[in-house]
Amino acid sequence: MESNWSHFLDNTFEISTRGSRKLMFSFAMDLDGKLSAFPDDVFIKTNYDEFHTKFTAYWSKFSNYNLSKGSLRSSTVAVSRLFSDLSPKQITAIDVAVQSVFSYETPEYAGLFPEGHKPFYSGERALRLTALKVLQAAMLEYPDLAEASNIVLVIANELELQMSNQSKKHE
Amino acid sequence: MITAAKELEKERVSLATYIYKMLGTFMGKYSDDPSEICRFFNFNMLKNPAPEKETEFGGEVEAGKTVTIVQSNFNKDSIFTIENTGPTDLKFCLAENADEETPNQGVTVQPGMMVDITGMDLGNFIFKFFNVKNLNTAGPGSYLVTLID
Repeated sequence: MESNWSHFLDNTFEISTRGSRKLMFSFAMDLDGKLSAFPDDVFIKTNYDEFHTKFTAYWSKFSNYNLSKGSLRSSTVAVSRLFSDLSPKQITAIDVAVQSVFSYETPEYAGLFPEGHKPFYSGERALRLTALKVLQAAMLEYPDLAEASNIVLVIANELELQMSNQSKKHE
Repeated sequence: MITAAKELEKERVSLATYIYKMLGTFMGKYSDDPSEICRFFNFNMLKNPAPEKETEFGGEVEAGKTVTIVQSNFNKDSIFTIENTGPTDLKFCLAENADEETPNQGVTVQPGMMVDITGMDLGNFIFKFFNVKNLNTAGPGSYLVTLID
């Protein structure tokens, strides 16, 4: 029987704002504004002062969270776009550079792209990055591919840097 | 962002608890005329909260099955933070229909792994169903997804 009545004691502010940080902010902001309008009322002022301190702390965390969220969004979009460019735009360009030295039928070409372009296009991002690094290392064997190798290195380094940034911003 | 979210959640509960306590004080003060309390506390705001743009979804998916996590309007820059919390490989994708896998599109996440990706990575972001397929046919899988639209 007691449980049927206990909802009258529920903390409606906590329950209503679960999963909605923005609603907590909006509600508290509204309350803060209304309480601040009575600076001469001792009862209201006393409550306002303590509440305002709590609200300011929430506001600070709310701003910090939104900043972090924006930062993660930015880095995630950057990583996604880099990987999107990797297939097929950049890989095709690298392939063209390789074929200008070793034609498609040569064992050297087969050695550089043992599984074709697939490892760069599909699979986990970390594996795609690894495939790029393996390619770059293999290209170092051929002085004629030095320039193309540098391009691959730049792409791989940029991907690695952006993935690392994204990972840090996730935490 | 995870740390900031945890800190904010802690602060939300703390603030809500303080407001609850303050409401009690106001109820004591205005016990003869409770309508006075509504001059300060806008309860209507809590009645019909606007939908939050960020949402968390967690669930299980049976061996070999594909299920819909959420139906929504996505865009290429929608952010999906996906964590595979189970023991099986899971494939996440956007699909035209509920409980359906889109072949050759989407992202596979291994057990214990967490990835941050965009709608663009999940396939055709015009599709409205965000689905997950358990690639293992022997046992169930589980996931936790945060969507920031």
